Amino acid sequence: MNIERLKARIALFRTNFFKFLLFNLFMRYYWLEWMLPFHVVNLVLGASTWIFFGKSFQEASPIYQQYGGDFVSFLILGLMLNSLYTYTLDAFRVATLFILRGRVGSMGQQLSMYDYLKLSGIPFSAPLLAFVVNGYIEELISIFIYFCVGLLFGLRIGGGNYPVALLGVLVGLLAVAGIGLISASMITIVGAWKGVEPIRWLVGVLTGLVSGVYFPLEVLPAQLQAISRVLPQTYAMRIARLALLQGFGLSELWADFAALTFIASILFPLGVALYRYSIDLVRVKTLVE
Amino acid sequence: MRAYAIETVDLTRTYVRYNYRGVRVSMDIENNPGGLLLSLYNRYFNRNVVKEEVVAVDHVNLKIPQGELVCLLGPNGSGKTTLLRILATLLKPTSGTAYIMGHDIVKEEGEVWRHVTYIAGLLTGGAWMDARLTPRQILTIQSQLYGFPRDRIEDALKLSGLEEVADVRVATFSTGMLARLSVAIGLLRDSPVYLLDEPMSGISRDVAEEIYVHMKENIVRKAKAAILYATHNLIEAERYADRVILMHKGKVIAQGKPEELISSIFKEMSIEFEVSNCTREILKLVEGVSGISKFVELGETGEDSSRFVVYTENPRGVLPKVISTIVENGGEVRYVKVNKPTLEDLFIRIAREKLGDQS
Repeated sequence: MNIERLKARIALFRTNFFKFLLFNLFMRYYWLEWMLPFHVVNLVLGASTWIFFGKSFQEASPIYQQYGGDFVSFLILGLMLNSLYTYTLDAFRVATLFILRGRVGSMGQQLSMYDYLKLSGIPFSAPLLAFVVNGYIEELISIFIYFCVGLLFGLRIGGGNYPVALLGVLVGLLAVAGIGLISASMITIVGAWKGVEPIRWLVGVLTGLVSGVYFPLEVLPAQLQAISRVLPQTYAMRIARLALLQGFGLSELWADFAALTFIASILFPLGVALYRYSIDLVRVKTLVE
Repeated sequence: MRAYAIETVDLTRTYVRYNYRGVRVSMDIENNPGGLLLSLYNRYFNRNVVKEEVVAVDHVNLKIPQGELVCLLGPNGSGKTTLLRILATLLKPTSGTAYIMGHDIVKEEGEVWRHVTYIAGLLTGGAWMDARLTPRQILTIQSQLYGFPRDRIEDALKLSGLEEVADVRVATFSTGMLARLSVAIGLLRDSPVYLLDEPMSGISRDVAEEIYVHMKENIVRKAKAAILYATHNLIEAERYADRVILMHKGKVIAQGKPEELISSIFKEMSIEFEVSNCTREILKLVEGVSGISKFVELGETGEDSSRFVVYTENPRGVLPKVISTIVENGGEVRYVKVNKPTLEDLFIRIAREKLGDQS
């Protein structure tokens, strides 16, 4: 591909990406208007429940000492990251389903949004990433609400190592996005477009139990701790917590970083490859068998 | 470089479906991962589930040059829409390939869309139409999206008969007006190949005729574009198509100029007569006129008048002879009708004779 062609493609992507992003933000403004107050209540009450639950036995448990001894900070960071990673798991699948399933039909003719994109020459990646980014904008609101609840209950992350924590969160995002892309590719590969997708289901149920969102992994039996080492969320949360609550740097966290980077380097390329294959498959298989 | 605007080479598209004791079942995964296990069980272990391959397009070979309007005819399920969707790169062929302006639809799909405008009836505009906008605003958005000059918008509005309502909100439009706007959006692109899937459904006859004339004069004759046009309307096809392609059960069963196709299949035409004062002797004389291959009496229609039909390969030669035979012998011709076979007759004949389809 020559340079001019590449430039044209990038320009086409950029133009359409921002068009779809604005379109989606505009279309979903109702979310802020009507849903946000209830969303805030949900998150505040949910986080408060866990905080009060934890406070009832916090003093007795020495396990939290390695995370600075503060259960509220431990939990709020876990909830914030869990919210971010749970969205990342679903983002590509939901956006893909929106593009593939949105259909206009009349007299036996059917065209999907995917068809329109193809007929208009708009790269598939433009609306896909626009929808995903739009979801992250909404997700940031949730994370901010958790942060506010944390401040209310005495969240202490003032002396943390922010760059290392951020790096850990980003590498974790890459790894979880890999799982999300694999999950999204199952829409066409195994026809998982109606209900819960099996890979997403498995990772989802394991994350709550073994990745250390609500409690340190040390309380789990050895077998479950072994399973937790397969999930990238485990490492990302550990890195973020230790960096922010104990001020640890790369030298203390290198083992977690190495494991997380290894997982990300496998999952993300695999996810991209499978996803590309699955989108190509749209024209071979039809969603309605 | 290939010489044709559209060329297909053994183009085939099959679908797989599964039947459980004769009832079609879905292999999609529903509700939870148990659905995956059920799907795998049904697919590979359940002996009552039978895999069936449905051929939607069956080894289709077409060559359509630029500057030709070709109608794709066939009943529902004959593969017309699938063929058009493959050519528009919305579906991949199972085997074979096709070329649009020399670009392989499988290997160069990124190039193909630039040369193709696909109009699927009301749908093409449907998704892009915002009911709060006016036709002029919608076409302006389209001009930005597809990158065609804005001055063409006025032409499109005029051609689609929307000039007077160009600044009226689409929300107030009737189905026919929406269809016109849909066609206008498609025609604006000015591409060398148009794939039209029943674009006139919902459009009144007068507007449809205007659009046909525009397509034929401006798009096909002047701009030398190729139009492949799927329709059920055999009368329209006979009137406007340079060539017709008949499809049945995924196969192309005949193709050619409408009149040539008809005359190649129907060697004979029938001429229906109603006559009065026509004695049995006169009828005998008519039966003996040279060029008549078959003579069928239809009986008396009233006092002194009767009807009969003659079959001939040469209606122009036979008709005056029959009339003069009747008149010279004291009879009177009241009514004559030459029954010209239509594309519909042709389609039914071919489907029955070639494919044994009695439906």
